[in-house]
Amino acid sequence: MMKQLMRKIAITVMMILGAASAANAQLKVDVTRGNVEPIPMAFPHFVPQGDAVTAVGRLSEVGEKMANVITANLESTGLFSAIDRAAFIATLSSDEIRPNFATHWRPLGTQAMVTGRLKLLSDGQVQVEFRLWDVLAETQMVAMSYKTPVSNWRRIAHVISDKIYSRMTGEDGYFDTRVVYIAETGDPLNRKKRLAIMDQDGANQRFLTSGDYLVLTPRFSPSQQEITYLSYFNNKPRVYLFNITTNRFEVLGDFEKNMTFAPRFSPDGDSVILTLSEDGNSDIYLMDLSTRNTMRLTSHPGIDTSPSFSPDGTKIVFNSDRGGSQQLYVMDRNGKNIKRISHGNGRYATPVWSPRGDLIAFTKMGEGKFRIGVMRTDGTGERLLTNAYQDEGPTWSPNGRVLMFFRTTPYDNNGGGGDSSIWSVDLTGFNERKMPTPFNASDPAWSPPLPLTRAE
Amino acid sequence: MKDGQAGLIYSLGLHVVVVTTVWVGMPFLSNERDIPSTIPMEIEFVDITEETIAPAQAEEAPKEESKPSPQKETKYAAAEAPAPAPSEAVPTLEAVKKEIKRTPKPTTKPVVTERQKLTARVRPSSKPKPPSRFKTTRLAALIDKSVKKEVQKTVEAEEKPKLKAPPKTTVPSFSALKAKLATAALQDALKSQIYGCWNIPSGVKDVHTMQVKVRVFLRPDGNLLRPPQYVDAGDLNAAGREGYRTFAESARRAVQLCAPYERLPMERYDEWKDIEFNFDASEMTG
Repeated sequence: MMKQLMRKIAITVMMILGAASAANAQLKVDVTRGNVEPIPMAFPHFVPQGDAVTAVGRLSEVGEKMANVITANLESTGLFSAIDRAAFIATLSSDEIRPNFATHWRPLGTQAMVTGRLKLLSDGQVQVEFRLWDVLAETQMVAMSYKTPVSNWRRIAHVISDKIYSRMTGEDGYFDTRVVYIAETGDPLNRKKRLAIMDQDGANQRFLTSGDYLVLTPRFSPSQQEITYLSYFNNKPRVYLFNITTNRFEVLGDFEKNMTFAPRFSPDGDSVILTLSEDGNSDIYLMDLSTRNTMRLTSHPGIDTSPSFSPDGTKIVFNSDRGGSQQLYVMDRNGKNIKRISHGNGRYATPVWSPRGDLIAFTKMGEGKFRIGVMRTDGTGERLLTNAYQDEGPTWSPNGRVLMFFRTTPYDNNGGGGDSSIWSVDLTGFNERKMPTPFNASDPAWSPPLPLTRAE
Repeated sequence: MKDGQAGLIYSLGLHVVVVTTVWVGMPFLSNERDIPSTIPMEIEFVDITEETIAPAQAEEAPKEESKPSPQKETKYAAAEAPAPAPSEAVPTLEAVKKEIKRTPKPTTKPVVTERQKLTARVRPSSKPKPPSRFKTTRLAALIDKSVKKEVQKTVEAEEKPKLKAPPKTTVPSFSALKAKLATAALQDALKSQIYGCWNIPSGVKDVHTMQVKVRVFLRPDGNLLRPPQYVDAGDLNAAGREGYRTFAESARRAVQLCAPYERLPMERYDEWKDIEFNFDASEMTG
């Protein structure tokens, strides 16, 4: 019996193998391994069509600066490497649209390249045109032209960077974005904390509040240029709403003697989810921004805080000490179906749902460290992305590929240390980079892509 | 009794080995998909690559096929066949299966004549003794000349399988094994080259579920005859397929960057002039 069965199995297997091998006159090769390396790209300076003088310098200088911003953006991802311009075999002329790939660019080892042209129009605006080329296939991958006041050159460079990034990776770019954060000045015991904003690459630093009152936990609306944050304005900790474009702020509901904190927008930007503390008990509430009606979502004697919506708006992740120690929980939008998802050693705080929906980032406290990690939304697949003394407060890039957080150095015996700065890290845990900020910086919040009024 | 027991144990052990090999090797027989699908693949590559990548081996294979095999026919091909096998677990298994498949063919054919059926019926239990059968058939031949030809044919048919059956079954499988090894050598040379050229876009969402086939036509000098083609990849520019397009483009770039494909044996050009690379990122932990 057994022998017959074995024989049957063997014959079946053999027939399958035989059929497979008989069918291919063509050689089949399975490729299951490769490398993960930056793709080499070339970014020649954008070429002016007539080197006119503009308000921000000669057109040729603008072309150089734009190419530099684009290069820095793409290199900062760790996915691309820029070929040194000093190694270029040829320079492009303003009437050359299609580069000579085979003789000038392929020998450099470049696999893709970006060319651009600038032209000053009679109305004083500048026309920027760029093309992304596949050097191996010798085809144009994407091309776009923009008309804008020349002062917007940096913005346009970010927009172009996004187009290149999205064509090369298949995902949305995140270069035309900004980051709000808390700028800290003064000695550690009497620190001024001001709301500040910068471009995603650290350019255009600006303060949004004066520093007379404490500001904490700024959070960007995922749909508008609006920020919600906690402020001790008039010495009362309350949640505020701040519109960047109109520069107006307003208090979010008046809860009299109660304290509100840890606000975050819903994905549609129409409501804010926050923590309200009443007689020492903290619970999570949802507030509709148009009606200002609040709905209580949790009611537990433990501390429930740091809520964050899933991108589809159906679920909320938060942290709670209801189980004895601080852990992450997921519940439905209405507060039902509360389920613990974190099960590792240590405590978990500040969960943030990825814009892609598949992961939750958090701060993990344990082994004498604060570290940034991610896990799947059911709590499986936990990975720590950083390993420094104190990293906390993760915020996602709008495409869910990069996280920013802030890092604090340990205090030393000479009264030094305790400095904080903003860092970014790739979802894979590679490519850790420090953001350039003029002062100590903490609690970053990444904006959604900036609105484009005139594009394509 | 003891012999029987030992035989039983031996056979049970063998079955366990074969069944587990099949179980582990054939993904559709097992329920756990994650781990087994990756681990056996790894083993497969390492072994073949090291064995076959040496150019000397790759050249040997085709030569041996034509000349020495007829000689071995008369010798102990059955005993020798396993010799090249130690390199691999998979070919051995196939060889074994081939033997199983081919043996029945020659034995069943001769048993056509009624005469034989009759003789089989007459003496069903004991193993047929060739001499005795000889006598009966010869007797028949003496009695009736009209059946002589037919009878003699069956005699030959009867005799041949006895002597030649083992060589016949093993020789084709041996050369098939050789050819398979040579093909594997080609595949491995190409694999090890393309590994260095493929830059996997590891950040693409669900990249570990992606797979793309790229077909290349090579000139004898190893350069691409024409631009590589995707096979059954559909419209890569369709909305919602941006991530897949990035993945597919990485594969296309790999085959372009890897050209010219050198170190391939000229005498096997027919085999490698048309290649289909199947890029599969399932081993990535996306």
